[in-house]
This record gives sequence, C-alpha cells and structure tokens, in this order.
Amino acid sequence: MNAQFKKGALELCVLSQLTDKDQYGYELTEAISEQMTVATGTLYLILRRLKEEDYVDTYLVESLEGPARKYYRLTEKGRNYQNELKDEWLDFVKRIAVLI
Amino acid sequence: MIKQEYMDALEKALEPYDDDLRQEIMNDFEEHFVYGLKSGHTEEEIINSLGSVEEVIRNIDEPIKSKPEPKAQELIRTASVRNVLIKADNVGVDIDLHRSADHHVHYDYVPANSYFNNKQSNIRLIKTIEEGDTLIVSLEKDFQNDKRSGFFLDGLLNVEIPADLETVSIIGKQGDIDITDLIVGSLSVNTMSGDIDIVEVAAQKINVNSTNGDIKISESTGDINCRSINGDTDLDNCRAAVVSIANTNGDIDADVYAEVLTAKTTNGDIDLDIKGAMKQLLVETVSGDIAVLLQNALTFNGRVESLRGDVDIRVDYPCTVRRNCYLFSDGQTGIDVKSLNGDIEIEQRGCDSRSAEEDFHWEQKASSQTKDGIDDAIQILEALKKFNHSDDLKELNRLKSVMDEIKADLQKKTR
Repeated sequence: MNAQFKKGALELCVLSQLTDKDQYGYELTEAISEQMTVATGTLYLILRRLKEEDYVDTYLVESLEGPARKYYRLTEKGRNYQNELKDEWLDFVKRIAVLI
Repeated sequence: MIKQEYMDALEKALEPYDDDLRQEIMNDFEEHFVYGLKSGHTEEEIINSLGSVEEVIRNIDEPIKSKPEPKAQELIRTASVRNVLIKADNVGVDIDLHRSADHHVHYDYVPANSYFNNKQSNIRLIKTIEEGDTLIVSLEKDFQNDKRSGFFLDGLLNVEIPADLETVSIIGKQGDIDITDLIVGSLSVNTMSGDIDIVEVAAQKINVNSTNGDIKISESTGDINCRSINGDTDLDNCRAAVVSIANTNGDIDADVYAEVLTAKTTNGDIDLDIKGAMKQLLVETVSGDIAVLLQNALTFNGRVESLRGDVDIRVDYPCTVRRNCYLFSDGQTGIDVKSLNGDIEIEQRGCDSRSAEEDFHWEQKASSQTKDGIDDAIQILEALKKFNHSDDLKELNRLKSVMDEIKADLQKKTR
C-alpha cells in the first residue's frame, strides 16, 4: 500500500477508535492491530502527532496493574477532523467501488 | 531480542531527536510492554508487533518533530595544533570569533537566505584541514551552482577557539568581523569590506588590515598595527607598547596607553588621547587636522609643524618657535607631529593650570611669536614699497608705522 495513503487511513482508524470512548495506548493499538498488519510502534507516533495538532489530548490514570496509563481523548477539533476524514474516506471508497 | 535490548536500541536511535519526543516515545513503549505482558504476550511477540526500531524511526517525519538544528561542530584538536586560520576570502560572510569554553575549536556556519530572490546561500562547503601545526577552517563557494550576484551576504560563520593558541588569522572578503574575548599570541585580520570590531582581546600582537571597512579595537592589550584605506580607525581604551595606525582616507581616533605611537593618514583627521609615559609619538597628515592630548608625557624632544595650517601648542615645556614649527629639545618623549594643510593642536594635561611665573613665560613666548610675525610683515611692506606705486605708497607707509608701534610696544612688554 502507498505509504501516504496508509498513513492517512491509519490516522482515521486511530481517531475513530476514540469517538466512543477514551482509550489508553495498548488498548487502542491492539484494537487496530487485530484488524490489520501494522507496526503498532508507529501508531504511537501518529498519536503523538495528533496530540501536537490538538486533535487529541491525554491524561494519566493510576493503575493497580502497573504504571499509570496514558489515556487519549478526542478533542472537539479532533471530532470534526475525524468526521471530515471519514466522509472523505467513504466518498473515496464509493468511487473506487464504481471503478473496480 | 528481548525488551531491554529493544528499548536500548530505540533510545539510542532517538538520540538525534528532541528530548521531549524521545522521552514520550520511551514512556509510551514502556507502558505498551507492561500491558502487553499482562495480556499474556511474550516480550518477543510484543517486539514483533511494535515493529523494528528502524521502522519506528523511519516513521518519525516532519509532522512529528523534525531533527533539531545540528549543534556547532566540534573539532577535536590534536595537541600539535598551535595556529588557526579562518579562510573566507572568496565568500561574503560575517564572521564571529570568540573564546571557547573548552580546549577545542568549534565552528558553526549559518547560511542566510537572500532577501531578494529567496535562494538559499550557495556556500555549502566548509572544510577543515590540518597543515602541520595549523588548523584551517575554510568556507568555499559552490561556483557551479552559483546563480546569484556577489553582492549578497551569505550568512554567518561562528568560530570558537581555545585560549592557548599561538596565532589566529582571519582572511575575509565581505562582511563584518566581530572578535570578542580572546587570549592568543598573535591575532591577524585581513579583509576588504565590512567593519572589524575587536573587543577584549589579549594578545602580543594584533594586526588588522581592511580596505573599506572601519576598524574598532576596544578594551584590548597587545601591540597594534592597523591599516585601512577608506575606513576609520578607532582604538578605545587599549594598552600597548607599540601602536601603529596608517589610513589613507579615514579618521584615526585613539584613546590608548602606549609607549610608541605612530598615526598617519592622508585625508582623515587624527584625534589622540594618550595615557602613560610616551617614548615616541609620530603623527602625520596631509590634509587632516591633528589633535593630541598627552596625559602623562612631561618633557619633549622633536618638532611639531604644519606647513599651511595653524598650530596650537599647550605644553608645559619650553620650545623654540619659528613660524609654524615648534622645536623641543632634551626631553624624554620624542615627538614628531606634522601636517601639510591641517591644523595641529597639542595639549598636555594639566597645562591649563599654570603658575603665574609660568604664565609670564608663556606670554613671553607668545609675544616673541607675534614679534616674528610683525618683523615678517614689516619686511613685506618694505618690499612692496620698492615697487613704488604712488597710489598705494601712502597706505603702505601708514601700515608700516602701525607695525612699528606694535613692535615697540611688544618689546617694552617682554623686556
């Protein structure tokens, strides 16, 4: 898959994981890697970038099982962005479907 | 590969990146390992899922954090290097030179974008080589890709050098050169355009050559030798055994402690304020005016002379006067001040507060000057009379009698 294309798709996947509930890193990356082959390490880089651009923010939650978990939460800006990306994606898929 | 190896490799690979990024990635991965192991995965499985360190690094791209600016490059100087030469003679860069905090030479070149055509500087090659005990740092123009005119300045070269070098030389072309806080055996600067500013340098010798720029040296020690064709030279609070300044068109302004001082310029003015007991003062202009304030010199030997300008001598030491030539003898400070067209003013500090007796001596001297002048005038009048133009004769005779009266009056006074 084209790297740029993959990156955009992964970004949408990451954002979409957070629309219903906040998630911590391991949980989120596991959910995605269950569905597709991806180096989960790179998902952390995507999360970091989304945070830098204020699409998500993070907060820590103490855990009895181990170190504090860093939770990711979609911001208002991130929610709008996710909507836009999703619409674009669905539109794109529809056009591809016509062609193939 | 186990977790620790993976994390060590990752940390090392993240080194060139921002601390903030490195710390965050390390924390995220650490957390990922903990919860992955809790879910029943092995370290190996988790590593396979995360992807190789190379893959992670490859995905750090611009939208994340770009690499920080490379730090000033460091040259681990071998012990045999005693001299540093900075060579930028076919490029137009500003040069900043100052003392490094350690024993190494550091350099850092910051290219400038042109304001006009938005093209990146075409200087890309910075070369350092060691020739014997000399380290050469040179900037070179990439002529093949040079599409810009030579007017543009091409950025800034920062160089830091340690304090124990024998010589430091700069060969520049255009651009300002700023040198601050150096300790060196000998410093030499050669450039064509651009100002040279030297502050707080301690050296045995400071040699500066410029074609068009101004030279300013302040708060420095060491024998100073300055040459400039069109620029001004300004020495401020410097201390030296020997100072030599030669300009063609620029002014010279020096406030120094010096034993031997030579200042020459063709068209510029010279303004000197000299502290310390001078041994020798040599000042020369063709058209410029000269003003010298001597703070500690007491007795003189030599001459002060302007062919066409006025001379004003205010020193507390006898001299013989012939027209505009003042001759001193038997003193300790050798003095040779001359100008063709300029005015000369020599002042000895404290000379204004003379005793009444000295005042009398000064008045006598002034009178004798005046008397010489009148003698000359009488001679001229006599000479004119020989031409015998009857219309003017009466007036000439009247003038001569006025002169005679003044002369007699003066003689009475000085007797």
